[in-house]
Amino acid sequence: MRVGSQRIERLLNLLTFLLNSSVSKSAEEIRTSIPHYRASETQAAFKRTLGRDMQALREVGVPVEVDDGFNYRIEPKAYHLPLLNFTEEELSGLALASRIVSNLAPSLQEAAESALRKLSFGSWEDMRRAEENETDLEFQLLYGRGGLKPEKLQVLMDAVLNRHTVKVRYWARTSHQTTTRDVDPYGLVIHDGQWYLVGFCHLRGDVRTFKGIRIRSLSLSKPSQPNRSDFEIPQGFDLQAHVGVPRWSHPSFTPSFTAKVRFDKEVFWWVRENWGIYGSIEEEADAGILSVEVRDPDAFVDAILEFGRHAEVREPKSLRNKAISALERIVEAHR
Amino acid sequence: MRRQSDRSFSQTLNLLPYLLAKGEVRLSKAAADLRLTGSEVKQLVRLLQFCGLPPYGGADTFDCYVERGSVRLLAARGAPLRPARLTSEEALALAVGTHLAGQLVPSVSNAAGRLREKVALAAATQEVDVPLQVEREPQALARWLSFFRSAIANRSVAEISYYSLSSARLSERQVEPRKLHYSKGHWYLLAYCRLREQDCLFRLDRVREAVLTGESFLPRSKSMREPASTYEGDLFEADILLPEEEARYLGERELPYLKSVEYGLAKGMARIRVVSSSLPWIVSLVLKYGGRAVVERPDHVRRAVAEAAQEMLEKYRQQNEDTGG
Repeated sequence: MRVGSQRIERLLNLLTFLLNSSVSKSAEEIRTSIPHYRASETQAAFKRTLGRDMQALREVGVPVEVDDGFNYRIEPKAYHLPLLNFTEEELSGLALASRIVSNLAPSLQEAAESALRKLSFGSWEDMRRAEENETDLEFQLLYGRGGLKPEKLQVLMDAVLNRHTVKVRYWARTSHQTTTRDVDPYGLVIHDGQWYLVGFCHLRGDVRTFKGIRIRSLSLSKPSQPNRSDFEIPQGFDLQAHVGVPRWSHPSFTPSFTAKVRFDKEVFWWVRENWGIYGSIEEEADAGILSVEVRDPDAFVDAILEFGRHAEVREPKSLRNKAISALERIVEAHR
Repeated sequence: MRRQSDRSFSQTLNLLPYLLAKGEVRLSKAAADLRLTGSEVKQLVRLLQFCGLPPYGGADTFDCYVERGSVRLLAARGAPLRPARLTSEEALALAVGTHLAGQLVPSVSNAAGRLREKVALAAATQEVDVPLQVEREPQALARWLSFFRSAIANRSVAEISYYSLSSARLSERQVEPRKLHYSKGHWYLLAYCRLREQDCLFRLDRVREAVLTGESFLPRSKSMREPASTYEGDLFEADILLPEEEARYLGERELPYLKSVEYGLAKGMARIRVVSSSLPWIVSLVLKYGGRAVVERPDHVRRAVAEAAQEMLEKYRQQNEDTGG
């Protein structure tokens, strides 16, 4: 037999032994009951092996309890997966969930896959069907790693879940400068195939969005303590408001003014679906006028020019003039 | 990454209760149900045969063997009756997955909420609140997602009105839907396009209207070709000067049309080389930089940008005169 299989046999014996004991077992009792441990040459070697095995059990989800006198116990109720019934819709949700995370990080993919194998207990066939049924959907949430190496993503995920403040060395694209700042990470956001961190920036004294790829380095601000949280997320904070919001409407720019833009029929329906939530719509015979709150006029003019002849800024006049000067610059530069 | 033996151990902890529930089962079925290969199941069974445990006496605890393609478990004293609970990592992975599934596929958002509760039960931990968000898609998308999913399932031909960015106009075409694909912020429909006579990718948010024609289609043999753009034309390259910070932003995103970026030119500029088959698309790429981007070559792209900007300018001036502005 290979070494690996000896180890598995030993782990399985250890698990079965403890799972079937109604009382805690001492290390010595374990050593005398399970032949593999008797083979240990010294007491110290045995203790090391036992310690590693207990760790291995915990890593696959076995809740090993140990008391002060080094007596071990596995409570069957805490071990066994409860009986859960999943509806067809839920099974298909699980299958989707697993496919989706597989794109985010290899560690999540492995964990989701093994979770699915556990949860399919008792409904193996239905789970199989659900997994096969979802093949009409494919997911790619990120470009490559989405701009964050797995180690950084792990640190950020943990910090977000445990509410730990992080120290971020960040390169700002516009100022071209790298600064170090403390950030209370409120959440992670995937936008345009990239990771973003949204959090309270202690340097700026406000909520800011940080693009993952521009985070040079990252660490916890204070030594980690599992049960300590460094901050609270303000009530009503909406992560959604920071995702995929066009730059011209981004809450970090203030103040705002109302702009009116006319879109022709080729593109108006798209504007209604995608930008309708930012303002109001007036439909005309073969076109429509969008009134929106604009926070960054330059970014807005850029966004309108991208529509080419299909869009025209109507109001205010200052914004219209901005569009006109931009067009004049373009004509001039391409003469 | 786990050690191989830990993975096998984990698989054993799923196999045992499975065999306890089934008694006897075809090897191939066990393999399929547990997502293992036949030889992996065999290997695990062989392993179980060796597992004996005093104080149950000399007899093996697990009496288990493979015979004529079937796995049988005769005795498994003291074996766990169900798999282990989820580890915190497994629970987190599913919490993240169901959370995102609910955001990306609106039809599962109800189930996603219930699933998060069940996952928390399965892990014996508190329900994890996952502060994770993918960008929002427009409302109409939910409709097209379910429309095309059922069209795929029923092999129904759909007639769509589609705005193609590369031609900068709406067009009508019949398509045979094959697959839906979420990629980097957008849902796409992969379909055989009867207009282009090949597989094309359609961005769902640019589908203006879609109806079933009532015709169903026969599955086509899978094309070896990459799905085409919805627009027909020869590929050409263009060099564009951009402020460095804008070029960096593009460079961060591994864009398929971006061939190269050259930094460190005079006046803080960078040169990007893009490749496309669509002139209207490149024109709109340049327009959206509001004069900060300049096409260096080729000449026909330079001219097209100047003409488009000139046409827009005249429209603005015309409108100014009309309103006395």
